[in-house]
Amino acid sequence: MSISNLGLSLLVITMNLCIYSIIGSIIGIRLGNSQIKLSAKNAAYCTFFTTLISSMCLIYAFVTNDFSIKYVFMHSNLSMDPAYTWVAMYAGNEGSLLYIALVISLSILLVLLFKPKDMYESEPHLIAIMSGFLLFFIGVMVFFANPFDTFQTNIPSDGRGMNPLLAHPGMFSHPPLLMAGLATISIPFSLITSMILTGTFRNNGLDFVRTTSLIVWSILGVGLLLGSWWAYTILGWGGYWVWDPIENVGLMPWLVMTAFIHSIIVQRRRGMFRVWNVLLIFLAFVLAQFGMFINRGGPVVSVHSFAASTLGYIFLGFMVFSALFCSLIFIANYNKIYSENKIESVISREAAFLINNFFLLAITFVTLWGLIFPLINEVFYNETVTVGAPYYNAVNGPVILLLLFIMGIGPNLSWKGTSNSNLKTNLLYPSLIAIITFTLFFLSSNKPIMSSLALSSIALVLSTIIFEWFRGSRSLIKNGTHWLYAFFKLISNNRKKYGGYIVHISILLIALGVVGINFYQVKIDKVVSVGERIEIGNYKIEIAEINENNFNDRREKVATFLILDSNENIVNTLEGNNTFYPTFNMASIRAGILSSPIEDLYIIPSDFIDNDTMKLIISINPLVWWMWVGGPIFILGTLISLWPRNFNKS
Amino acid sequence: MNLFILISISIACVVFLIFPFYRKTEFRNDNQQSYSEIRKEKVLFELTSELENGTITNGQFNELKEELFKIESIRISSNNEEIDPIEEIIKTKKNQDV
Amino acid sequence: MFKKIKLNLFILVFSFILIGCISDVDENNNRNYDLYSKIMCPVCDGQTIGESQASIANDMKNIVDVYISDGKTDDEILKYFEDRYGTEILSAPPNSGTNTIVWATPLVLISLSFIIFSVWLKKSAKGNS
Repeated sequence: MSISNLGLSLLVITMNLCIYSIIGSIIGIRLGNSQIKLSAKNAAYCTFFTTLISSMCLIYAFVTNDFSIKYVFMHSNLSMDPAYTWVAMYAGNEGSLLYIALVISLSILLVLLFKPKDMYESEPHLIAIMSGFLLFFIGVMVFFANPFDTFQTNIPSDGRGMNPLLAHPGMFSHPPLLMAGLATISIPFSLITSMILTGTFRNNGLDFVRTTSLIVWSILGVGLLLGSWWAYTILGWGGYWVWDPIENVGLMPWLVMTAFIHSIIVQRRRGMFRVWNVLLIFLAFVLAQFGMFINRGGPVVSVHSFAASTLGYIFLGFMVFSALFCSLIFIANYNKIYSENKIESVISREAAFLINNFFLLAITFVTLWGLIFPLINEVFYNETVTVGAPYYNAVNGPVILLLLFIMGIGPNLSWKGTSNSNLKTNLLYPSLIAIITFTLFFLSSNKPIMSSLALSSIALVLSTIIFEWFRGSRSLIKNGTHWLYAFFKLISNNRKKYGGYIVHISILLIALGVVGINFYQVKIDKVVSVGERIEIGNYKIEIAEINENNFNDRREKVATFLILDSNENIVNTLEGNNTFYPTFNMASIRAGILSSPIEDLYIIPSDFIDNDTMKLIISINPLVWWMWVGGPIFILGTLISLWPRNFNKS
Repeated sequence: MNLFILISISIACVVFLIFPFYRKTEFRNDNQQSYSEIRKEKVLFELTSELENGTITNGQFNELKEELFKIESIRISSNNEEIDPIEEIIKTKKNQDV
Repeated sequence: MFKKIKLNLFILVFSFILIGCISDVDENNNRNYDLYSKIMCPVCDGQTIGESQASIANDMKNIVDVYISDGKTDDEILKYFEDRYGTEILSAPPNSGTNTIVWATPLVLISLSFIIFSVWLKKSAKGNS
């Protein structure tokens, strides 16, 4: 028996296990038989192990260069770095489906293991829904996109190789995190659906939903951020975010999840917004399915989708199905989820959360609209248009700015309405700081007013958080605690809140980078030859040499630049390369970057004209460094806010 | 070798699936009891955090504790799981006066 | 009450400033790069000529450079490419003809739903106090 047969057989077994656990759960619920329910649960556990071993088969085939399998042939070759053979599994359409199935089955396992014990009522429903979701992916692989498909005759001796854009360290992180994020939105979705169906949608379950949503949300967020980091530092696109359709479909569920994790706090605290939260998680789930559909050969052109895939219709069908499923559940159980929604005051924390939700959904809507407008236009007016970055920047930019503004106001408001004196003490200094920042930047620079507004909003949010921190720890310090200790004590006393603030700070850092690169970038474009010097900003750049290396799968041209200081001393050396892959007719560029907290010097060797002349794009990107610092801080904040409270304390 | 892996996995799965049918113990009621314990703990924890945040007073804390424990014991006997009374009570108490 | 009015006024003024600055969002220090980001590369999937390194993209960049030094306006240059390759060559549709929809819809929908939303919010707040 060959490895491909083993892999496929395991997929078929997984499929049957899924079907068994769905039917078993349903029968168990109908008959109230706990033995059948338990057996169905065991089947759900088993799916992880069978999917895991099946994935291991595919990885094994990659590592051993088994080109009899078509998928391995398409995405690997003998000259590929062995490190990549371990991750080449998710480089293409079929394998990435297997990867997603693995993630889903793992999440089933983890959810069943870590779920609070008192959520037992909704467990069979949960198992049925999650197994159903897994069944879809396994079914697609078994019937339409078998990763273990083999060549019957003429087994090739070498493969075609991986898409060169993927053959970078970024490959280890960005695609798997993004796919995992999209797939695992099914966890909070299934949890909530199962609780609705059993009428047990209450606080203890809600805490677990919050935990899983935060994890899923941070996976997706880190995936997106790594995507921009990859585009900026490795792919040398010169930008960090181009509003590409594939990025957009990852961004939309993330935005809705952001809205969800905010408004779920209100439900937790005040018992309000139940209907709204359910709608949000349903929307996030359907948008995630929309993302899967666009990824799998949807009708949208993108720089990096699984272009050859013909699975579009199946995924479109599944998206429509999930939308119908959600609406049906929502309508049928509306009475069970309905809760009294009474906002006491417009100037309250709840209202701020709602406004935040409104803007987040507005950004989502604009993004979705820009994504589907070309299709609408083509169908109704028979005209092809492109909706790209200028559109999103113009329309989404102001909304993002408003969102940032609310981020500064919201934390100053208290639940159920804020008294005027409270509002005054809380908002006085932050708004003063914001106004000063605005005036300073507005008067001192000739940049668009947007940049000054953005910077003043950032100042508003940051000072709000700092003052809140200050006020919180002041009482502790008064009692004689050292301020540093008081600071940590404050965080550990209310992890959820201060973890959230830390995440806010990371968002501010990202915003700082965005403002820097969008409004303060300096860029020149020049044809230069070896030995020439360029001056940009405070930098003197000398082109030292151009080398050419030939490999059997690629031609690599490497340019070396020397960075000189005012005394003509060499302070740094940068390298940029332009690699051409003849098999794919594709070029991949690596920019030379000299990064510092103040600004990045960014050199793209865009075109090599002959042996010693080339076209360079040199830019100075202020503050981008902070954007990448934002990533770890984002993770740190999420972790702090997720860290379980110490039960023994009480 | 591969065939051996396949067969052993299949057998393991089947054994795992039919295993629950051979365990004849009725664990439903036991579970109810232990879940109730967990819930009591949670409720206590919940109330303590509310107390720390200052959303409820000390008196309310004791009052709620009594009330909720009573409900828990009723829940075990009646097995009525329509809506969760605990959240309802906490909510109304919290909204009474702050 | 006074406070409420002040807050509302503040939000109103803030939104007006925002709407006012939508027009100059893309004002950059370099005209060439502005134009590069407004023209798509015809042979690449979803990349502008500024991002793409394909030879046709480089040629198009050169055309843009030449036209700028010839003293042509941005609109004339974009028109030149639009006439040759169709509207899809522009990275954002022009605000004219049927394409007005793409710009107007979010503006209309967002402001409309914001009005409905704030009316609901106020009513809900009033009903409770």
